[in-house]
Amino acid sequence: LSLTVFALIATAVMVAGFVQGTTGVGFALIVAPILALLAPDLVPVSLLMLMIPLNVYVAWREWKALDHSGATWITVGRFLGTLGGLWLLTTLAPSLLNILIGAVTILAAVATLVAPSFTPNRQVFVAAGVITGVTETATGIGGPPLALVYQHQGAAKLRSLSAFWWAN
Amino acid sequence: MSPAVLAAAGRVSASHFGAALMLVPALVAGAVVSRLTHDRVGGRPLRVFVLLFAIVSGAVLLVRN
Repeated sequence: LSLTVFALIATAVMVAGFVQGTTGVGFALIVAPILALLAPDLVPVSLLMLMIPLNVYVAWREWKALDHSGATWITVGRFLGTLGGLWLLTTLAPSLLNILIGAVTILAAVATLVAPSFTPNRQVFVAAGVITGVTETATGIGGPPLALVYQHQGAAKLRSLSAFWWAN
Repeated sequence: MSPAVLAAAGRVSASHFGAALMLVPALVAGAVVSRLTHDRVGGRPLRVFVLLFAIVSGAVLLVRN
């Protein structure tokens, strides 16, 4: 990594850490495309590593607001999805993986913007977990399904669940 | 969970770890600043910013490939 590239990546990580700490989502959405452009080797592994300390910190800070039942069902789905994501990562060529990252980023953002308000049930939690497991393992971006499920339930709930989920 | 699965599959190297480690100070700086703001920011303006950023950067990634 050249110094300029490192400085750009470090700035993105700093902004993304601020955004995730404030809203509960966004770290990977900001960092993944920048890493994929500047240092593709680091996606998704280094990105996922950085999310561990960030989310341990936020989970600790927001523990009171955690929705335990939702977290359990999402974790069940996520475990299944992780295996699917690993399969994608080992099967796809790097250039296809970058296209997948770009497409997942845009789809996730558009879905989060336009989704109507609803009350999630158990099936929705498991489905969100599966989708997250697949996309986070293959691309580093996993938060948007969670943001979709929780976006009308308050920022503290989303922050705490998002953090709990990534931290384990 | 997913870093553990990736490591078990042999997809994690020392350079991944080194790069992540070098970026931790930037991460800490961002997270510490968020402590000052997370009670005050409802999240919506920032979320719209994140989503617009994501759409633009995702599109750049698609075009570059």
